[in-house]
Amino acid sequence: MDAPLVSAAAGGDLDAFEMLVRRHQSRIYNFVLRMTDSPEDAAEVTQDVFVAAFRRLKTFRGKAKFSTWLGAIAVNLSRNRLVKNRRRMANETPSLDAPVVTADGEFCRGTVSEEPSALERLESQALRRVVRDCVARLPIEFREVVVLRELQELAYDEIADMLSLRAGTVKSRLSRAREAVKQCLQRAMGKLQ
Amino acid sequence: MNHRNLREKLSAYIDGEVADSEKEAIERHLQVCDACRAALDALQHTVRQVKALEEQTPPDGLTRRIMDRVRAEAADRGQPFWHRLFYPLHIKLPIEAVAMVFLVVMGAYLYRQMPDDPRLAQMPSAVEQKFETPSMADAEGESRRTGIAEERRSGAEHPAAEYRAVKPAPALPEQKAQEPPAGRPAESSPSFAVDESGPQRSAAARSAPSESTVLKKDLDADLPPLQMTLEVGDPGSAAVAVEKHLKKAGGKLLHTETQSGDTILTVSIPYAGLDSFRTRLAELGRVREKEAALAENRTESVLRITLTAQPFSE
Repeated sequence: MDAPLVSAAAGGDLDAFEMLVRRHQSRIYNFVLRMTDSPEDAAEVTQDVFVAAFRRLKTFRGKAKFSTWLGAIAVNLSRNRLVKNRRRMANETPSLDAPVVTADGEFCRGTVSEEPSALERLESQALRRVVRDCVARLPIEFREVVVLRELQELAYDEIADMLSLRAGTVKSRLSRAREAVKQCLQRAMGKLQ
Repeated sequence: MNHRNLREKLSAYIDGEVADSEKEAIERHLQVCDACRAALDALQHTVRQVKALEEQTPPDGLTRRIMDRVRAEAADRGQPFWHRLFYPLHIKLPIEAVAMVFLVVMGAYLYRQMPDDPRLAQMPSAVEQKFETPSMADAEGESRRTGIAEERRSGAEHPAAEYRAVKPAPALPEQKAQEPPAGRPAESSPSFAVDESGPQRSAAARSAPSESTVLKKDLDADLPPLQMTLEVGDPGSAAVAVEKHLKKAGGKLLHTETQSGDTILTVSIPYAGLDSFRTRLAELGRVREKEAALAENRTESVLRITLTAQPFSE
């Protein structure tokens, strides 16, 4: 479905390229957003991804899906941005040890709650913030597989192609990444129900 | 399957990424193990929480901004190389001008910081070599040590120097005639002027090599050796001592011969060790040199030392 547009765009058809942009920009933007945890960086890097793709369009051989090829560019440029902003991200990531303020008052993390459900006591918005922070605190290589699998719903082999990894490495890395998120959530919210 | 093995496979299990045989084994274990079942539940809950993160809408105008950059890229691509290099003029030209100025300044600075090549300082041209003589002070010092004045007074005893003498204080009559013509450097050896002074040349000067001969010769290799005579009690044992001093001074023995009872040693010695070598020779006997000093630009000198048993003569 992308192949005709890619072929036309490679021949200089900018309208065809714009259609590719509209088709893939949301996915690329959200991937970069989850990686950088910054809407500003996500917007800039998304632009860079498509400009880079336009420059390299003639090198795309069509052996992989265009979305996979585009995603690989997004992975590399996201990594570059993360390295560049490493200090800023460390300063801005909120501490998961700080109490979570809810409508019912303060909830101290780390306590084992005997109430029917700790999750039910939290605002969904606050819960999403915690989950987002837990993902954002993952090491880069764990964060990539979690975002591509859970949020982009890519198959293991597609993730392997995009990250230039073996499928077995994707499997083990995803297992460890999920375990890390689970432990992070448990620390943040007490016992998960 | 033990608990640890199973929990490592739970992530792939919930994604359906395990082999059928493994899947059966996992499900059998989960039926009987509450702890592993709880671990599975926790993992599935975690995955659900992450999946629940909402997809964000890209900001307005993102597509337009992307396409603006892409169109600029496409337009730039169609331009000739020089256009891409210099346009837009008001941006690229000042940057490139500053870069060019910076390169020129840095190049000049680095060039000025480069040390002078010492080899160039030590290696004068053949023309400069022709006119170069040792300094007056060196020549006079050597004269006092080696008795060059006596040598000159008894100049008839020895053949004229094969190459030029220095210009010490008193000029002998035959050397006065060899004053270099006007325009030549004052320190030039009398013998260098030999060819220029025509019929005024003395016998001593006539035997000196002509200017054209000197100009043609290589600086270090083809110049005749310095002549030195050492009057000792026993030339044989003196030769052994001379060789010992020669080695200490970093020199080497090139040739040994015997002539009319005299032992003649031809040696090569670095210029830097020449003075100390002379001092050592003076301790062995009386030294008489035909050449009192050397051109400073030589790195090595060849000496022809005649060890003679003749007693000291006044």
